Amino acid sequence: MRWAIWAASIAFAQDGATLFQEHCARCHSIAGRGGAVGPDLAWIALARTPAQLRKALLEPSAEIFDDFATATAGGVTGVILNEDDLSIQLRLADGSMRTFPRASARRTGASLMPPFRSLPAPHLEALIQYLHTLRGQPVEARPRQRTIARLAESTAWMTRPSREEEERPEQVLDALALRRDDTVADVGAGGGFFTGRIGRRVHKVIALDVQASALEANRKQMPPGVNAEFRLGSDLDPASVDALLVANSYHEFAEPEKMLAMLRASLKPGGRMLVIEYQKEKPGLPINETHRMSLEELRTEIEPAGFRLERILDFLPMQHGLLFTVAK
Amino acid sequence: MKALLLLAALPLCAQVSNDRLLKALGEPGNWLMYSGNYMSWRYSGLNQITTENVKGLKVKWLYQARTTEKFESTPLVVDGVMYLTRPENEVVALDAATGRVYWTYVHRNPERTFNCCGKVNRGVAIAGNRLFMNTLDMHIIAIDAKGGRELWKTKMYDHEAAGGYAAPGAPLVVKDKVIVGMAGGERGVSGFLDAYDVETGKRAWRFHTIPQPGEANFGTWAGDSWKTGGASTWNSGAYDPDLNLVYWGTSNPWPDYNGDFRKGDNLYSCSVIALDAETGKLRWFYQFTPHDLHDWDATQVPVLFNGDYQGKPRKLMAWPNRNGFYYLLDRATGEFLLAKSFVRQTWVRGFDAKGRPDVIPGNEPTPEGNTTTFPGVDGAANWMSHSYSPITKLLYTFARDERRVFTKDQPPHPTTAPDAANTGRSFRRRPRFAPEESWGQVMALDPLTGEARWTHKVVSPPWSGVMSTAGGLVFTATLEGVVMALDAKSGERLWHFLGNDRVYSSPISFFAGGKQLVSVPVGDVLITFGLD
Repeated sequence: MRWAIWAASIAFAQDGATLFQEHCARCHSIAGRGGAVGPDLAWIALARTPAQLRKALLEPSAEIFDDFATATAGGVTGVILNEDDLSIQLRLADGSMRTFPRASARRTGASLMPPFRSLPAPHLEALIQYLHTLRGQPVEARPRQRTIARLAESTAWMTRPSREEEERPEQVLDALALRRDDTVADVGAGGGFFTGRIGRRVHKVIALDVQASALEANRKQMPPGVNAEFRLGSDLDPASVDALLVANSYHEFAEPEKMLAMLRASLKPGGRMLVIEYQKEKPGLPINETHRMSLEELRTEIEPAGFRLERILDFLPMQHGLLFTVAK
Repeated sequence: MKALLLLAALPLCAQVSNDRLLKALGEPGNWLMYSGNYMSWRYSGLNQITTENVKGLKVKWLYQARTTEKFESTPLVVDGVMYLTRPENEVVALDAATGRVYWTYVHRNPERTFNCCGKVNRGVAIAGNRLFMNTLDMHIIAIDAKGGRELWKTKMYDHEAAGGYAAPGAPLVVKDKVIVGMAGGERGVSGFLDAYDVETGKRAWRFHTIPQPGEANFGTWAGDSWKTGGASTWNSGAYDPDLNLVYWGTSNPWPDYNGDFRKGDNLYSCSVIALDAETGKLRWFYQFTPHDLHDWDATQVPVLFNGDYQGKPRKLMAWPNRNGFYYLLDRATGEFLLAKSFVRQTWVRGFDAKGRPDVIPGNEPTPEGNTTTFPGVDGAANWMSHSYSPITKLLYTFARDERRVFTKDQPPHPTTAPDAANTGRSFRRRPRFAPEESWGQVMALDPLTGEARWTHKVVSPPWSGVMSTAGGLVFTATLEGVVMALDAKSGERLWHFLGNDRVYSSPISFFAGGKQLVSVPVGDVLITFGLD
């Protein structure tokens, strides 16, 4: 019986693959194969739940990422690639790139993707099920090439007024699915941008940092009533925490392999680790390149250390957010 | 010519088919490959800008590459979209009429790569809807020309092998294959030319530019010297569809200035090789500089043209070489037809019937430094493009007329180990001599005789190539950044723009926004000119 369900679900997903080619592949690619009008969907299952996928298919305009905002110009509509006061660069639905006078252009606020409301319900379900199998390619370990960053000591960047808007801390913590009785370590906690917010959600938060000055600042901002421990150094006790937040600090680990082994051991069964890093791939970020990491660097360093990638947060404008569990 | 212009203004099918590449001359509004067409003419059929109106040429837009590396890229232009590479290995798609960026593709190299002369790239090739870029860490990458997304990436070779491999040149698409060269002649590598399937990225063939044991001409290297003999393929090539031959130039043998342990002719270094496009098998070769001791790479772009030679129509190849001589070859057979110096030279007395030079002793590098040999290490010609105009039937080249210092040294075994005292480089750059005895000159050569029709002298030996146009102009730029248009018939300077920075590339021309435009990188800025 179980086997039959499994077989049926595979068949369903294969059917979904055909539907994808039919309805989606003109605009969306999977690992580069397909159209380039919409985002690549190679790991969409790591970024979206089936319910979110359903909503995106039925109401594509409900949520549009900045990179896919649209405008109409010269009688056509396209995704905005670039603009200045004189001209606007659009990618049209056929994938072609065109430049129009700026004066003729108007932002639409709508997605270029049509709503799939007329798709028969079984087809919609098959498509969603197929999309939910797309978890990207497994990665292999390879020699680390990046330069490990020196410890950042500038507090100006970390206390900038726009940080909350740009780093969306509450939404990030939602992804960790914290429970009231959890113990959580904020690894490389710094001045406490996340520590206090974690503390309000859980039984206990451990602020771990190698800089005493950072922990001192962290202590000062801690909201009253939070059960917080301030620990100087880079060690956690084995099987002591339910969740780890490693936000903007992984790139500064002097010995990443050793640190990952320690972090893995510190997790209780069912534990999860969320790693946040500024994107190396994104041009124009006001951050030194050694303080940024690519998705590939993060995956090829962390997954071979015994972690399984469960989710990719794709709502952060400047950062990668990767949620890991301990690999079996 | 008017009809051609109109045709160029029409939106064409975005796919760059094999047929379009073969007939690139027929769509002068576009620039579809590194040298403009398979004959490496770097010639634009556009004639909106003429000898009459060129005085009105103005800057239309800039692309700021923001790099401290040399900006050596030749852009492609396809139906209004320009595809440009910027250092190290990034591809930028932009609107050719405004310079506004559509997308950027970034390939990240490891921190240590091993190109001799900067972290540079000279441009992409296109086939169908795919762009191809080779990288400093020895990958060849296919990128979706619309979306800017990677389609496949193939590792060509271990870039850390020997003293280090790199791939800085522009690839060449021939039918269903993309042909890619490599660099490392200063680092004791073993040269090759590769072809990859445009669809899959699978390697179709590899031609070793140094014969392997058992192959013909293996014995032209003493002892084990063939293993580290260099003979790289770091610039772009040409293609003759009727003969189905790919032509490519090869670099110097290693070590550059010391031939003691590589006695012999060192084939196929400093040569042109003609390969079957399907199989990569050698059809013929001609070695310009046997047993080179002066780093006189033969990595110039091969210029193909047809003409009557001694009363008979021939398929010809024109080749101003780094060693100071202009060569005329039969490109069907490789037959040597003539060689004539186009700058001062001190090393050859004459040539035998097969084109082997009769070398004058005393020009060899010495431990204390030989300062009397012409041309210098960077040559008379180098990698900068020549141009052939079907209108004037002249070959244009920007020659370096100079001497330098040739020093013989003992290079250590090639390695890329970071702690090695010397990484296998035997490469030396010496300051040039005063402008009174060391200069540059744009030249118009009669390709059938090698005679100079005119010479336009400039203060410094250049690193820019030339482009000729149907408007009767030759565009080029000096090392100091003087971008100029010369009269293709007389060499008279008709227009200039003070770019005020080094130029390490060759101009192109294309049609965008209803205008003929001319682009050339100056410093780290791609400047695009047009008429009002």
